[in-house]
Amino acid sequence: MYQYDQFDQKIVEQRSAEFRAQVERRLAGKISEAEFKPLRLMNGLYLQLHAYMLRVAIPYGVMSSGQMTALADIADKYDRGYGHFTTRQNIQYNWPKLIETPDILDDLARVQMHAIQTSGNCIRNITTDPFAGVAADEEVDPRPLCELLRQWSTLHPEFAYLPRKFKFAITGSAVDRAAIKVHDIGLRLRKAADGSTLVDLWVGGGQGRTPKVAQLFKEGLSVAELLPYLEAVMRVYNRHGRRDNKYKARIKILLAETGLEALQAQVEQERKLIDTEPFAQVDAELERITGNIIKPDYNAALKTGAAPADNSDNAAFAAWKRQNVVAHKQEGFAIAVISLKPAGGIPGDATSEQMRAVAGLAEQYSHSELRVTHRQNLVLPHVLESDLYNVWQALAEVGLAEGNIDLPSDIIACPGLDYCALATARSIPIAQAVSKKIRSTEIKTDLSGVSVNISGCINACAHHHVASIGVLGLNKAGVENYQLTLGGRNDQNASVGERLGPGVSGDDVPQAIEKIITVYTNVREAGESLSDTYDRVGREPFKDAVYA
Amino acid sequence: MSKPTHSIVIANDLQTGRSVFFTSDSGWSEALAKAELIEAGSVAEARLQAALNDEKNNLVIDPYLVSVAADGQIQDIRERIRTKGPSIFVKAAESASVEAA
Repeated sequence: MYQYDQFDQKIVEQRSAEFRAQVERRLAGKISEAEFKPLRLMNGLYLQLHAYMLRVAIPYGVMSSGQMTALADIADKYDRGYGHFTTRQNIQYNWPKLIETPDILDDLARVQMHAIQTSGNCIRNITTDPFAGVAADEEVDPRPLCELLRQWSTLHPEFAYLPRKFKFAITGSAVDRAAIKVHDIGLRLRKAADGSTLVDLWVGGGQGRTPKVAQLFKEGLSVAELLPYLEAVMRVYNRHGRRDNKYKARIKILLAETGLEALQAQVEQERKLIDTEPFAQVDAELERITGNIIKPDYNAALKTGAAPADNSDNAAFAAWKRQNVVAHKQEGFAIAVISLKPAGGIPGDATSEQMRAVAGLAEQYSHSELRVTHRQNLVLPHVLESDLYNVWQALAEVGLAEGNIDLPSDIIACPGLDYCALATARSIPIAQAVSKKIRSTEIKTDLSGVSVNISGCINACAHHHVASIGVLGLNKAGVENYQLTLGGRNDQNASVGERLGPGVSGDDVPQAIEKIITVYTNVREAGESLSDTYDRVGREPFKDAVYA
Repeated sequence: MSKPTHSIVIANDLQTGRSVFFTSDSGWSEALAKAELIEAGSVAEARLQAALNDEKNNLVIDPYLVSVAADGQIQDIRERIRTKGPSIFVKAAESASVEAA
């Protein structure tokens, strides 16, 4: 993973000291809540239903075992012994106290972590493929560009007060595991015939109350051209994005209202005005960054590792391996995905004990490196195949050996009304009930073409629009009500799901999902995902089953 | 469920962020049982004004009235969870005592 330098260290230390002074002024009554709120949000500190909530950045979802241990220590020292991993590959604490937040930021800074730009109308944590740099099907490793954009966007003075929050996602594979088409800007990296890297720029994707799939905005930019071009896009958005209505302030609305060609023309015009001199060293900087991404010595590990043991007679291990282990680009190695979705559990939550256990496994078996996925799971990216059985056994000891990655019980769920001040309905208890109900079915039947995402309000933090089965919790006259959507996709063929019919009660959601899955398994054709089947047969069979 | 006839005042404590309830002695408590059950109408508005002074004094954030039935029941799901805590059984032992909504 990328090794931060003293410049990065200084930034996080300075920001921590600055926030300590701001908190002191707030507690002393020298600044009001109205004045303090934007300051705390710039440091990832929200005020939720029951307490403050601190969102900590995990840049493009990559961290070390030492950083994970620090996150576990913070959970114990300042919170209630657990954390919640999010769809932006970050972690949230639900119970920090304002008076202790500066100490938390100090503890984070000691391991070069922070909460900068995890909230507010700025460029948020850049997300990427959780298998970046190790996926067998990868064309271009996106991590150097992620780091370059992290440095470019961090405390960028021109983009600190955008019309609305702004989200980037980057992938270097044809199979999109970063959901780039439902981000404000999605970048697809690919190799040109001469071996150089080209970037396709997708703009205007997003979810929330107006879900949109991004449009191809500029094809085949060289890496050297990318930053000036992005700067031009951001400037045009900053100038023309709507500030009169926060529900229409995202770039997807600007794109829809302006039109693709007109917005492209504005960006091209803006690009001509940009002084490219500051970007002249981009190639050299990318080279420096690439050099600072410490790569495991795979050959040395292979020489010292044991021969793969034959554990094929262990059905539980075989099932976990089949579902949770992904092909690695390096022969002899594997990518192990750790599910944070035990049947009946809280999606994305991990206790401090589990965090420490995973940190230990990363140190012992994965070159001290970990990833967070946008599906709220964890990844050990460099595991010798011969170590997989030991890893699985160790995970089982701390309740993390559920073999359900990319199955329906691998549910994305936001904190919902149990924590979130914006939520209109609970999402966690619904996810718990759904995963309990469908886990036994997915063990017996191939349901790898089904995804379930559950959002507790129209802001769609759990990406319900792009799940094959989306669940949206609403509040109708003080009572929770859940809308179902079908046919969404979050991959390279991204699509927005369609509403099935009237909302149902929370108690009825698990059964409704079970009925949808039954229709799918009865009528699907070979190789079809649920969304493929939905596209082919339409809404009626599913609607008839759910509302019979 | 009974019709709301009363109110309580809820806010967040500035230092901790915890949900707190305005008490009959014009203090704040994290215990819902200690919340002052106020008759709806002008009495409730007067008590809210008193609570709002504590916002100016930097003790609490955003006090507001929550409608409550005479038997203490809260109809709205959001306010019920707000007053009683998360409805889920969170993993950490310290949170195991959280009441169901």
